[in-house]
Amino acid sequence: MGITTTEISNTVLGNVQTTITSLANYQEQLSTGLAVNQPSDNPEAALQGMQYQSQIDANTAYIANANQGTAFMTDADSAFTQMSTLMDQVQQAAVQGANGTQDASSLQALGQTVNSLLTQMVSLANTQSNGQYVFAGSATNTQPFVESADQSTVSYQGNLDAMSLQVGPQASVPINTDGNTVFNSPTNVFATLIQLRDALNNGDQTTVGNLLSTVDQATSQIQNAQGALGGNQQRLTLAQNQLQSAQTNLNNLLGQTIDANLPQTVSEMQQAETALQSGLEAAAKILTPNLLSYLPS
Amino acid sequence: MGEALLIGLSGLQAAQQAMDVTSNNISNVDTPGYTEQTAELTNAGTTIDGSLQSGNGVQVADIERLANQLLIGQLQQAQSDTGRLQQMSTTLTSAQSAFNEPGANGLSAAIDNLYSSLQSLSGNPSSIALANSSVSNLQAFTATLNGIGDQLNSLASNLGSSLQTSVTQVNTLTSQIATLNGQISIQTQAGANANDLKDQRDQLISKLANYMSLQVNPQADGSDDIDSDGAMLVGGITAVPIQPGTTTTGGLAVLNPTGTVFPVSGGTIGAMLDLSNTQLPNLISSMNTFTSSFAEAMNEAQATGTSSNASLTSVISNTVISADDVDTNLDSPQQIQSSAGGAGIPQAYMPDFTDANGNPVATNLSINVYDPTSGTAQKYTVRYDPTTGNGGDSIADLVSAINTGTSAGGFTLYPPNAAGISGVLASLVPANGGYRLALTAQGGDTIDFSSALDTQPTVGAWTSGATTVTGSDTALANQRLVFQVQGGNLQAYTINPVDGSQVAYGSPVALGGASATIGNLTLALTPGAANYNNGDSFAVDFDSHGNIVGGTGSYTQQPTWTSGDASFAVSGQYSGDQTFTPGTQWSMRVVSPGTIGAATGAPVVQFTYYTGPASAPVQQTTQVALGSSYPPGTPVQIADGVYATFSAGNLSTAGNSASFTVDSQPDQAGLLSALGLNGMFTGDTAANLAVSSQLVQNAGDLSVGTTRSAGDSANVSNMENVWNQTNFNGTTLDNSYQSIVANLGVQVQQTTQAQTTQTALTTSLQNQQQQVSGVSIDQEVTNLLQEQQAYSAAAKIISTQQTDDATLIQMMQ
Repeated sequence: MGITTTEISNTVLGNVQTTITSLANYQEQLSTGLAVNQPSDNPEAALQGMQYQSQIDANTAYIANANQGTAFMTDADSAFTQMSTLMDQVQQAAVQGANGTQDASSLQALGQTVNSLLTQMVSLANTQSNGQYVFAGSATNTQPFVESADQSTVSYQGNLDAMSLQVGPQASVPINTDGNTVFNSPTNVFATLIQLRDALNNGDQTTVGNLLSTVDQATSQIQNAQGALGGNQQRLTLAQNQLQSAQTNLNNLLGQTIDANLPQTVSEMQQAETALQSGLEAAAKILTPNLLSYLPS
Repeated sequence: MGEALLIGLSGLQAAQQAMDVTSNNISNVDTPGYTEQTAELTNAGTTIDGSLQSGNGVQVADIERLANQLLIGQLQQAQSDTGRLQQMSTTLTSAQSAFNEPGANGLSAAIDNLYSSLQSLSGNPSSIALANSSVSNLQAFTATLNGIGDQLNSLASNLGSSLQTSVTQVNTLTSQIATLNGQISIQTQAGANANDLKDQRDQLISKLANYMSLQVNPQADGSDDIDSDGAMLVGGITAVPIQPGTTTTGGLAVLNPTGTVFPVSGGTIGAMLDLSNTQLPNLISSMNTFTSSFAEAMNEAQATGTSSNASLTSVISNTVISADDVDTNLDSPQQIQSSAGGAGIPQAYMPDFTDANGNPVATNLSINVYDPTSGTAQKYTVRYDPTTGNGGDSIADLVSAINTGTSAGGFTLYPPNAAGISGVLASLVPANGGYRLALTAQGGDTIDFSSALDTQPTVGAWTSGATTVTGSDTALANQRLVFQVQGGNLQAYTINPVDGSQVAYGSPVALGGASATIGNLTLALTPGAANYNNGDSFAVDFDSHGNIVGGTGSYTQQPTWTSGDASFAVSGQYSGDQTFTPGTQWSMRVVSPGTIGAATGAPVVQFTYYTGPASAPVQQTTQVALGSSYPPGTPVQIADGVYATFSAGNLSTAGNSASFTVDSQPDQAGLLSALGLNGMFTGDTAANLAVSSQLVQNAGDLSVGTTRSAGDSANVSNMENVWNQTNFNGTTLDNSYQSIVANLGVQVQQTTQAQTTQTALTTSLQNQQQQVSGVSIDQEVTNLLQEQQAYSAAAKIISTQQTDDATLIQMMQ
């Protein structure tokens, strides 16, 4: 009966074991920098941490998409700007050509100007971004506009399919404008240029005059397409900004959820060390003596 | 006179015995399971001398074990709880570490990486490098998943060998206890106290309690009977030998010698049974459900897509249909795969030919044959209609429909073509215990099952000149004979409806003349080999007498498109909801003839198409004059993303028409997943899921698009949508997996906490027991001193008596 030595050593061993276990736990936290190293450390935080991490990874992909889409659209946009400039020159040529004072040779010179503008226009319509044709619909490896050998027609080889990039789980932004919509529908830009060129070459000033309004329509058709693209560019920029700020938030939240609180962990570990040392010292003192030590031998 | 000496002697003896007991206690201070003993001293009775009574000294009545049965019972229960929690904690912690979460090496990271790589691919869908990267990420995903599956499975199977060892230990312990029961019973009946044997037995029972929860019932003869959950384990000198076994569902069980179930709920064995029958199967099954849901969705996306790089000239099913089930309906429970790797359809991927109410309903499967040279495809629909034929949906019926246009079952081919899908041969290839379905395209064509519309609907299979077949042949009784234009020749063959195999009939004849003979049949041909187009075919059926079905003795196949006219193709990404039915095919009809793109006298065509929900199609028509706004090759919008293009040339005949298939759902019944045709994965469990070898060998076959355009990433979006859908137990892919891990984390945390509490409880009980039954050296030494003093005093009695006696004797001398 009474307190036995076995009991004392059991208790001391048990307490030392508990303290060492928590020391190991603190050390793991300090070495990984994470408070949650297994789901069982804090299942709720682990779940939340995984969810934040997945969102961060997905956002990284969305940001990359947005950057790529921006590059693609910027290339299309600068092509549009150049096209507008070209169309202004076409319009000047047409206005000049319609003017009754022009003689045949100056009309032909204007015809040559329009022809070179046509060639530049076709080349702009075949603009590539990173090896992909930007005005070919989704047929990005097919040259969308092909001029016939006799320069009498320009045919569309692309398709009408839209391409879009995901910038959020349920959010996608269209990045392309198919060439048929830009150049063929409803006004056929290239056919207009070809007709204008041919009329100038033939000295047919009536037709040139008639084509003036068509050239206007073609110009505004291209400008409208650029406007639509600009709208999508803005959506993409907005999405990019939102993604960036969401990313910062998520990273903070992730840190708060699973990162170890270093000062706290260090101080807790020191407490545990102190507890361990005093426990061991006390045990060494208690376990030694018993009645026999004090009996005369 | 002598009495005092005897009393003194009794004191000496009692003190000596007490000192023996104390010494024994001190010697056993560290002996495990030793219970402190005390010598029970009583006075040794009285002597009555007349009216006087005097005591006879002291005697040791009993040497008592200071055991507290209540505490021992509590401690045994605590030990079995500790055993159970330890086993649970060990196994569940191992299961948790199999997941490697949270961290960069877990499945969550693999899923994220896969998603990111698909996103990159969607930005540049024709890039083979990015497709390779996606396939590598798919492989990393399956490898990580397999790691988890394998470790969970091996945890489950390791439990089996642990159980074996534990049961052996239990049997050793129970037979030792039974033996001790016998010895204790004999000693008890002989009046001895058997303290040491009881210590040994308690020690063994305490070890046994670690394995299972026990009820110990002490018997009058000193033996202990032991039950586990009401079933006898030890009864007196009999120990019941138990053995490891399995339940009907494949989990572990403990069995009686007779083979019936022996109930064990507590201890390590109870934990093993719980883990093996409930915890691990639940965990494995939730991982498998997660796996098969993901794989099925991705398989279906991969199978019903295509890409600019896709180059499948043949596809072979991963699923093996058992040889016995070739004629069994594909959705029959008989087709369900019974063991991993065996023949049959994995249960998670069973096809469904029914509507939401479980009633059979017509469903479509699109099969496209794409000619990379011309850039156009023939689009076929194998339609299952439960009201057609005998309504069957066996693999033989499917093969027959692909090869011959119809089957004895419910499958029919659209557009109707007696030669089946032109240029594609379906066959059943023998494989382990059954057959795989193989579809092989000919002449460099490729096969896909997408909703792609790179279609050139040249109005049926026969674009060649009019051809008439006349005659009969009994050798052709009940057969279908296919005539096909092949390299300037016309050849004929019969086709086997089950495996699609072909047997040549007669000899091929060179085209060019006005007539020819093949076998017993004569043919009237359109003169000029140029009137025949390579690959064109038509079929003629023969009755039981070998006569041409219809009874007129001849059959004439007419061209359905004016030869030399401009060709017409349909393209686009269909964005509507219509599914194909034979009654709502889209079509184009020439209203007035003319030259495509001509400024004057342009042809007018009328398109007929359907809009609205699939359940209620609304017919629409639109007329387009193909004038100067539509030079050859210019897209002519029809509706919902579908457009037509015409090549340069004339549309010469008003009334010429073409019909084409527009279908938003290429595989309504999930046949492709069920058969494992052009899937992304093979397998259906966490342990066996693998990336299809086709994709590993050629990442270009990854279906990034729903069309073959280089910039089409629509199907990558479909795959990405798998992440956003809540088809995984009502939640999303990520959440479903994450909750599996979090739930396991909660379990491990609870078990570990319970284990800590239990350990504290056990320590406390052990301390209490130590206080009752343990040896305290201080106390024993005190007892020893006391007993020494008693001995000295008794010796003094004897010495005093001796002095008295000596005095008396001296006086007498």
